[in-house]
Amino acid sequence: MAAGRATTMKTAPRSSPLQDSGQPAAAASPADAGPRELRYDVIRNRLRQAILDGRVAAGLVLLEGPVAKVFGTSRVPVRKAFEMLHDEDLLRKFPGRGYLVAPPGVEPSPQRLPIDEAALGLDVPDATIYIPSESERIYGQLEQAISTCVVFGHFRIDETRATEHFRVNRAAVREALGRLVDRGLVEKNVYSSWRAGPLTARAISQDFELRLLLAPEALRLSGPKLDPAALAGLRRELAAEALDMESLLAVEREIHVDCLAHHQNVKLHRFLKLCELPLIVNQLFCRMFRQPVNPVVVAEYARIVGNLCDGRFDQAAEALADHLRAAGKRAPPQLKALAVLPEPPLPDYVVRIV
Amino acid sequence: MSSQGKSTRPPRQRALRVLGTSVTLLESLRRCAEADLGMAIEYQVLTGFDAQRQAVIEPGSFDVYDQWFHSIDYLWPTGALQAIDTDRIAHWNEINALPRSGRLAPGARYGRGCNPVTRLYVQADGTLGDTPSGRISMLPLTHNADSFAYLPAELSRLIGDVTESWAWLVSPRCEGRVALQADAAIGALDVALALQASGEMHFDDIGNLSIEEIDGMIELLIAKKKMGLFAGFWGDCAEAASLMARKRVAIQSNWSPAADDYVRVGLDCRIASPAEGYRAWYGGQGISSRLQGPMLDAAYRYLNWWLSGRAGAVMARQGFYIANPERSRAYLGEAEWDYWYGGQPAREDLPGTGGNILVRRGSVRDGGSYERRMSRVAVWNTVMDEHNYLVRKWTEFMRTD
Repeated sequence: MAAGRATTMKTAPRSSPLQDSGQPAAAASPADAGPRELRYDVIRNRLRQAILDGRVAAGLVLLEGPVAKVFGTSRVPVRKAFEMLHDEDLLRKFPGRGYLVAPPGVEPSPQRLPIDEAALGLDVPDATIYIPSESERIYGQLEQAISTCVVFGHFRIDETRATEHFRVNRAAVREALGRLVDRGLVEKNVYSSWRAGPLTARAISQDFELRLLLAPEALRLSGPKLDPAALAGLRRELAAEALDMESLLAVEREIHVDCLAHHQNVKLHRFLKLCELPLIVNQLFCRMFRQPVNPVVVAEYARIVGNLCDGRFDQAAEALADHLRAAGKRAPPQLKALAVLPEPPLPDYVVRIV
Repeated sequence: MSSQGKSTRPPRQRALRVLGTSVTLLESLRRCAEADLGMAIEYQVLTGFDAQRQAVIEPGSFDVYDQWFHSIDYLWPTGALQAIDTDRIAHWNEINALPRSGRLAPGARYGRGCNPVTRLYVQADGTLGDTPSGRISMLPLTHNADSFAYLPAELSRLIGDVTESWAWLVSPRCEGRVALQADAAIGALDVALALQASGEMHFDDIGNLSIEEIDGMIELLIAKKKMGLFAGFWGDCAEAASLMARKRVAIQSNWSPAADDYVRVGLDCRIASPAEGYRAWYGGQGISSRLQGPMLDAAYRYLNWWLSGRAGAVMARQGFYIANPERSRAYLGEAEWDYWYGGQPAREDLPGTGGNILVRRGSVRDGGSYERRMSRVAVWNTVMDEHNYLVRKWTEFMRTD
């Protein structure tokens, strides 16, 4: 397990899909997708502020490669940022490679110094900028729309409409859909369109069967490599009186995804990713019906985490298997209840087949 | 204003809100209950599906939920209802064996699908099951065995056979003369019974069809639809009567209260007692999980009133049975009791719930007595595991031209 929740949970918190009107919502506007920040803008703005604040030595020679390394990007956005700063007269060309830092009113002479975060005046220790790619930016919304629509029938995902909806290129849509194929939520073969749903009790039951076969072993293998501090954090969270549904769902994801991924068997990891329907259905159910925290479920998770914390990995695996059997019984009624919901407004890139 | 000027009377209790369908929420009953109990009662009458949806999405919008046992599959997992304490149900011990054990008598057939006993008792882990406990999901009340309705003169000409069978509903001889209930939960069960009876399909468990069985059934139905077997689909009793009166429908799915509509439009319609058994349903009342204090007490009083006899008699006059029949006997005429429960020929004209003549002297109820009819349940109305899939496929069938 990674250092903690903040680093392992990259998905943004989502509001309940069931709106105050009682209608589930799946058709969020494109503006609800992750922020569309451009890398060169971020780099330009950070360097610009550092130069104007005098945090960068006048005359420092900036080269694309080292600066890109500091920001954790390719050279392309750095080159673009340099050009923009040059247009603003904050960088100057000189007879050599790169640009010179030229604060207003200063006549700089070249200073060839090692380029690191401090040299660039970046006051945070880790300056690497995390800007999601286009496909990462749209993934959350795409996943939410598709995991909702499958409850209501069989759908085709229209690539062209999706590119227009999200205002991204086709490659980004394909990459995001490809990730959903990996999770077993979308299907695609060479000649067919992207398809999703309908969610069936059998598909969920089969995912449970596979999870029951694989997940306990994955936990047994991963257990010794999990971070004790993070496990203690999970234990505290499960014992907290103020545990709410969103926190419990986050813990659920930690246990069923992150805690099972710290082993070397790549195929095992891939197979587990393919059977996440139980998680998807439970999340949908709990969010759409605004369910209170179920103490029975909390106790099941507490038993798994408690055993992991105490280094009893066989018992943790056993507790996970028991939990999966119990959850497998809870799932079919959840699916039936979802069928009562009115069909939410779906985005236009989701086209009904049946 | 000083506090001394305020009234010391307790605040007036709000009306008890009962959510359900027109099957049981009759205005005459509401007025009776108000008079007997001395409290205000509001009925929210919706279609079956809308009532289920409202109960699940807005569990705070009702106090008592009055519907079919199979809808508990939606309401219980979502936490819309609270367990009912059987110690607070005065006549609990009078409720007969049908909902308690799944069979009216030891030798009776155990109906597949949502047999009410499978959803009755709250188990130790909070789920529902048939192991008796002192807490129940819904109070078992009204129930009946349904089949199909047909015009005897027409069917005699079309089929010729005298043994009533679900197979008639899918017989090519009835081309263009068949109608079905539009709701997948009921219409699909009727045709599943029909296809099984005709030998065109076999289902491992007719109360819980698999994906392949659903696919096979819908494929067959679409082919039959294209060949012109079905004349229409209906959503309520009035539509059902209209299809028979105006669209040459000779045989169709049935709801018991439609008998009144058939009489009203002058149809000589018979309700079948199929050789393969009935499709039955069980209704009951549940209490909102949000209810507590005086309103919870009011809900228990209302539930108890339903078992006190008067409501059971009103239900009997539209063909429904009640869970403790003997209590309602005192509120029925002897001829009424003998016709509705005894299965004997009507000794006189008998009224329906509205006071109009529903049963003519000499008529005999299809299938005979209560014991005989409710011992021949082939399948209970149900929400199958693949209900979601069935509904989508049923919609595909309905949309096919």
